[in-house]
Amino acid sequence: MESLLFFVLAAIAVASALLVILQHKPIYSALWLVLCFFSLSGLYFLLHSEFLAIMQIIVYAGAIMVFILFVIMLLNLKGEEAKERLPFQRLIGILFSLLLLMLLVTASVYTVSMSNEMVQAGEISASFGGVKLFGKLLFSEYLLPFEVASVILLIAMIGAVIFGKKRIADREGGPE
Amino acid sequence: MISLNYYLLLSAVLFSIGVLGVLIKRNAIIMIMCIELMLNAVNLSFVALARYQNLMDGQIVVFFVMTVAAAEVAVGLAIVVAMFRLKQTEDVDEINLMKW
Repeated sequence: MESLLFFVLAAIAVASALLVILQHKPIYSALWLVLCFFSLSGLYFLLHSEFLAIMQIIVYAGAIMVFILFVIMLLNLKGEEAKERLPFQRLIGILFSLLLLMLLVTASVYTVSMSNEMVQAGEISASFGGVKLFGKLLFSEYLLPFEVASVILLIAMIGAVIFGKKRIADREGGPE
Repeated sequence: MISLNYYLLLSAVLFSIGVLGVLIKRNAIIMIMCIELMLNAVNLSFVALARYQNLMDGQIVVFFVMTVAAAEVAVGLAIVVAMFRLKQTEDVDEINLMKW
């Protein structure tokens, strides 16, 4: 049952990821990416990471993708596929990503084959992946990264506002 | 129970699809989406390794990756909007102001 669920979710994830890069219009790419994020969230549930699965849906599908869709809506894109500037760009891209895939597959298979106890999942405690253990770790062992993350979010917010504001100040002729 | 290999292979496939998208697409917004796809592929391998090692630390890392991804998308899309206002295009080949 679990392996069937894994293969269905993995097939959905790979197919929707491929459809993201095969679409010509950004809006369809964004909608397929939402499906990909949902299937990844299902995989997190399979891995007993309930909190991260919910966060995946709320943060990625809920916040980031809605933000991207808003920008696509506001920009009023023409949606035309630009002609290729670089000769053989598509061919070289496919070649190099296939090479990268082979490298990653070789590395991961080799690494897992080094130690046998990693391959099969052992018994886990009931609190694994829950919000209680998560919060306890976040506020004790990972307190400094947690605070730094808040600073990163603040800087990103200020940066986004500055990028959006500059041109309006120019148009009104006032000082920045 | 699924072996760890399958999760790592799925992660590798998703990461390669993201790389392929960045390499062959010239639309800035689709390129940002492909970067998100790559981050998610890495997140999947973190979560799978956390489960198979029975350690929560991998999940904490994924939490921070999600935070940084949100910040990255906010700044990246602000740059795309500023770029669109300047050039009326979102084709990254057209953005060559600093190139020559």
